[in-house]
Amino acid sequence: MRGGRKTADRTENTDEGIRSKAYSHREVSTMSPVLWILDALFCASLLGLAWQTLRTRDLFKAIVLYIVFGLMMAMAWARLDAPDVALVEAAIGAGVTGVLLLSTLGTLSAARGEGSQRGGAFASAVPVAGLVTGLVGCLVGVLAVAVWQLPVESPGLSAAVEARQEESGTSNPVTAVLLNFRAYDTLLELTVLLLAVLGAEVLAGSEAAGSEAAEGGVAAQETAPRQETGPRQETGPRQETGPRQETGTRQGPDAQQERPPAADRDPVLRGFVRLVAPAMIVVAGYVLWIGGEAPGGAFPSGAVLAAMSFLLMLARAEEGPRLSRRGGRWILVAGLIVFWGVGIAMLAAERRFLEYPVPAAKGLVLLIEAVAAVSIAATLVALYRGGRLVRRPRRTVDSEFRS
Amino acid sequence: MTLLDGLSLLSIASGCFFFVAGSVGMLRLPDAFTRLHALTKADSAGLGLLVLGLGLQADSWWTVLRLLLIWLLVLLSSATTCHLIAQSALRRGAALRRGDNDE
Amino acid sequence: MTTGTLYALCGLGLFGIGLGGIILRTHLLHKIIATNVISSGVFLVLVALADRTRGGRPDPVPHAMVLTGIVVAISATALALGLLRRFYRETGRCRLPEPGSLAPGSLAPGSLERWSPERRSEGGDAEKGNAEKGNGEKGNAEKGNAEKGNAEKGNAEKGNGGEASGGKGDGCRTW
Repeated sequence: MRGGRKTADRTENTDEGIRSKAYSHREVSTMSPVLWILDALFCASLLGLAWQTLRTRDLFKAIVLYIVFGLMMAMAWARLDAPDVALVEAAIGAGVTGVLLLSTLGTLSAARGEGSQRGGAFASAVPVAGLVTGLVGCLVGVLAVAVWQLPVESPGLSAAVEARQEESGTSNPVTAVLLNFRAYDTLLELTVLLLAVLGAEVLAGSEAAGSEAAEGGVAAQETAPRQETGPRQETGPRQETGPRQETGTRQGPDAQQERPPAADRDPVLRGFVRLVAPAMIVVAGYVLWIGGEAPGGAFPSGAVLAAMSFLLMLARAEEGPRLSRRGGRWILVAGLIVFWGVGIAMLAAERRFLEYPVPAAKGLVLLIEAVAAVSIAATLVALYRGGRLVRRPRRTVDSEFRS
Repeated sequence: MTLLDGLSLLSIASGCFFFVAGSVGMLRLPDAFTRLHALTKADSAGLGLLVLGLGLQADSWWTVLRLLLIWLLVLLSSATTCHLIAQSALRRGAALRRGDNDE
Repeated sequence: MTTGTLYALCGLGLFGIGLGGIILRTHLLHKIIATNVISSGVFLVLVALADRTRGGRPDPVPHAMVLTGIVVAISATALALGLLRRFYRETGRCRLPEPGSLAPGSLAPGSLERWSPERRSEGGDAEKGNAEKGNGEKGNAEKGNAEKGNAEKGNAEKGNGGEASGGKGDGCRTW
């Protein structure tokens, strides 16, 4: 019963008026033995999943286990009253990381099952493994003692945040910290994201010329639609199977390993995406907006948008963005530009960098978040596509067959 | 405990039962198709019951609406995912054979 | 023991498991996953320790930092995966050479035979095992071929720009 109550509470805490109530169950959560058992189970399954993830020799299995691990982490965040983190973890930690790992596994042809022969999957002989285990165990033990001896109560900076909450322009303390009190962090974080995209693009480098198809046909699927002019939705599934089968034989079974081959022209998937993609845009907007008052904000919102793009790619939807490469780059940097712009505007107004005036804070935070969400989504998509949001148009195997 | 509480307790408990049944099915059934069958159907029903139970506890219609929306989205996506996995299994042709191996 | 302490200890456990994994696993993809497990552990410790406010709201600052951290972790992961792809494309491998085994020229594509002594003795069996394992997923016939002429195949792959199709004979599997 208590569990049910609690979840209901949590759902309400996205409601505008009930912010303080969101945490009212906390007394219960530290006392109740039922919840304690639940926590212990969570911890045990987290540890077990991590162990299995790293122990298994099948990389595909490892990745799937890691995705499950990420979802369990999201539950753990929820238990620790960190719903903002839970949202981001579920979307980015589990979802996007899983997508990236799987697509890389597809690129490392047949890497799956690689470790199935004896030896090799682990670095070295048993004594070394024993030594490493022992040392790691010691380290963890020492850290555990340190954690154990920490004071049971330590409010940290929560009082300071609460004191200035009014001035931050948002009533969600996490958003206030992210975009106002410690906006520097977020600014630099966006920079890190951009650097990662640049790095990925450089690393992908010449790959783009020869092996766009090798990236699991994702390349093919996203450039091809741009050359399509006629609406193809009307063509039934029967007509669509023709070209797909041809592509399938053309690329060979492994080229499509990254993504189930049937997915690309699957009418069910396409129908689903058509229904869900607009809803996801609305959800992204909602999450962004609600982030001012309750769990949400730019990062979950961006992750939802990115997930929508992945779905569109998966379904090879024509509705994909028709962007020039230049436009794509602008989208990638837009978040940073706006962030810097606001910061410098504050300097110009004789305030400190990123020190918003109180009356304008809400608007500025929302502005930065909105642009950042789009940039974050674009960045995640670009990371998936080897650093490029938009590939240079080229005739692909796929479009050849279609035309 | 009011009647409403009792109803929602009942609903949540049976929802959990469906989840457990679905998970048992996934672990025990012989091949990919039957596992999917057990998992998606039982989980959709289980989630529906959970949503019902939570909806009875909700303060506002707005919350109920959002709960229903979540259920609807999960229904849609689990049905689609089930279809995709099944199709992939069918194409790979591994599914039914696995049953023989497992038992 | 409070909820926070429990999860903090769990985070430490994750940190330990990840650390062990990053040292002991040889496949680079596995190492990348291990890094992610480590970062999850660290995040868990941070957020768990933010929870020591006795019934009040948890400290939002660590939450915000962890949120930042998750996003930074994924960009680091993506970069690492980019490095791995590139490494694979250049060398046909998914593992770093062990100290001492890196003979001159051993990073040339198709030099697997030279690189791993045990491969020659065990490779055949392993290949067969794998072929059975992947049965029905990929072209089976190709698998058989992969057993012979691994090196040539690796080279041919490179010619195609590391195309994923039919890449049976590369180091990522024959280890």
